Amino acid sequence: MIHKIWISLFLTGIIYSFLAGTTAEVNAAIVEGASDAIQLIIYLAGILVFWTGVLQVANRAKMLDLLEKILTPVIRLLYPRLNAKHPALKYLTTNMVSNFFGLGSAATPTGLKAMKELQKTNPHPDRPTFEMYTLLVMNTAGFTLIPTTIIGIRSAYQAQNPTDVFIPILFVSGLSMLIGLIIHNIYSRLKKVHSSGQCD
Amino acid sequence: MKEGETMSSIGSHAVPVFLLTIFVMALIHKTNAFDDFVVGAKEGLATTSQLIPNLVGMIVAIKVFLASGIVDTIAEVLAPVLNALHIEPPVLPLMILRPLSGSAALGFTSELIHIHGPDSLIGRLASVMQGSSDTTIYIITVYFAAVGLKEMKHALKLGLVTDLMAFMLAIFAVSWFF
Repeated sequence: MIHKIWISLFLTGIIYSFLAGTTAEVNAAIVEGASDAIQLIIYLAGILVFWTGVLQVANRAKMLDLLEKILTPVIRLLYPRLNAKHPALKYLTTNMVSNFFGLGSAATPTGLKAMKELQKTNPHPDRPTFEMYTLLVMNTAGFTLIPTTIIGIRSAYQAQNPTDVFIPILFVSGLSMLIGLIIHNIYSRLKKVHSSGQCD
Repeated sequence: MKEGETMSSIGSHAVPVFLLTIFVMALIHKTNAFDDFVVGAKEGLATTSQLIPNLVGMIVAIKVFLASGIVDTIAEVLAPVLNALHIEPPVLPLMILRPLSGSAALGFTSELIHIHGPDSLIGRLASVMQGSSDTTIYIITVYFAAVGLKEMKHALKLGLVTDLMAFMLAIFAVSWFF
């Protein structure tokens, strides 16, 4: 996928520049692009390294455990048809907390483990279950407490207050996640999407 | 706008308060905060260095694409539609790339912020759009492939509708908060 996007960007850019007579600009872009990228990364590196360090401190100080406890009722609400002993529940909780903390490297493996546990009790293994759709909405909505990368880019380009987008981002991702969940629940009820439900 | 000022002041307090909470919890649980920090930070360094080749490749491609002027031409053609939806033409490519590729979207966001400035309407719009959505199509593909599910149509619809919602809300939020 990335490979196609990358080639298309170059192809359309270069071919269009021949038609529009902007080859000089394109030449400049090739020269500037690479050094722009390195400058951005140098700036981003500091912020990313700092925050992954801080999140590890939070993790070891049992902040993630605390959040998992707080979020248990939310998990029950999101996955009402899952048996309280379903092995997927643990992974679903960790996945949610990792996403909130912006720990992409922890979110994906726990999400995949949750998928595998949900698939084990899927009565129709060729069709996704209600819980799988819920998990997808929770992961694709991009809900994060601290959007470190964005803050990093904004300060790299001298924003007056790099964190001022923080509340709008929380608002937008939270609300779009909620709307996604509502649409999903209505659809699932109408189409009677089956559940990964019970297990022993 | 007074409301906007209050909102951004909450925003600028949130990060220090979050940090403070973490350090107080580290004191309560008597963990070795600095050692933990170093362990985590090393992981962050590895992630960043993996990002270098991706971002260099993507940013050059995006700069070439933007320098050709094609976005301006497309924006002119689509002007009536974009105006009706209150979409700023420069963010249109970002809306298309965001669900597809993390590094392409990140590169695009940083270029938009670079060109238009972080405190411009477009800079803020790009920030909020990038920050409040994810690589939907990529995530669905990975999650479904992991358990061998092939029926992706509904999942894609659900994910992309949520993304579209986020983009529309972003347009609304940027004009409301700032």
